[in-house]
Amino acid sequence: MSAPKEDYSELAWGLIYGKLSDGERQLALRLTATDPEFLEVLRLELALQKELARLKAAMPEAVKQRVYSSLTGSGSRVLVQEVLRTVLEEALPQMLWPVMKILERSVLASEQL
Amino acid sequence: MDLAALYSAYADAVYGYLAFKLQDRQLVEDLVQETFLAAQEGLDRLETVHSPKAWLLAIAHNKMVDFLRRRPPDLPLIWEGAAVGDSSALFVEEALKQLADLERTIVYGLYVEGFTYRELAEMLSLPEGTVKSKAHNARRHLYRWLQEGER
Repeated sequence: MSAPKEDYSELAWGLIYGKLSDGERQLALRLTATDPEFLEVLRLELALQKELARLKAAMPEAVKQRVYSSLTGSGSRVLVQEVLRTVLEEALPQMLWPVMKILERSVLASEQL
Repeated sequence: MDLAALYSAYADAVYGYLAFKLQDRQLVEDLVQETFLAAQEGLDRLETVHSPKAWLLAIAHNKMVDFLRRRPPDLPLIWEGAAVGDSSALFVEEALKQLADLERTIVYGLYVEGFTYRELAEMLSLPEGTVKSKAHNARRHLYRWLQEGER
């Protein structure tokens, strides 16, 4: 087969994928019945559709759920992280004082022994 | 259409496209997430787009291109044959390996997603005429491959 007509490839592809206007569809169907060259191109396009469909990879369900959880959780997680950081920055020095007192007492107690 | 509906309808298509283009499944997962996060921010634009699927795949494509520009040069990420479980896909992979990367992407869009030239042009930010001519070259090659396989 010599190089196929570009229009024929597009027409055949459009017929298979349902992308033709009514007029184009009529033309494609007429060519199917009357033009062996178009019929050959249509056969090749159908074979390509079948072969290339094997490349379609579905997203694994576990991955799908994980990504969706991240998507819906990411907004609130960022907010929680921001609030937590602010609270810790403000509160941590105050929280550290009682710890320091306990440490001081234990050191003093050890020295007195 | 909200994020949940968009994700439910097109997560497979976005994942499938990125998995076709990249080897690293963790990266694919990250880019799917980035794609939908970006889509969420641009949900108000959705009403003006011709095809939501093509719009999402355009975002995914751009995210991937951005990542590949920034990646360390020794990271082997680009497609060298799809990691598809179906062993009969190997025959198709052999034929696709002979095509340029852009032609492979166009073939994927045309035959796996059923995109029109217009949708592919929008997705890849290319003139429609360029997509057409690349598709024609790829078809010529794939027809020859099919016919040789039949002999």
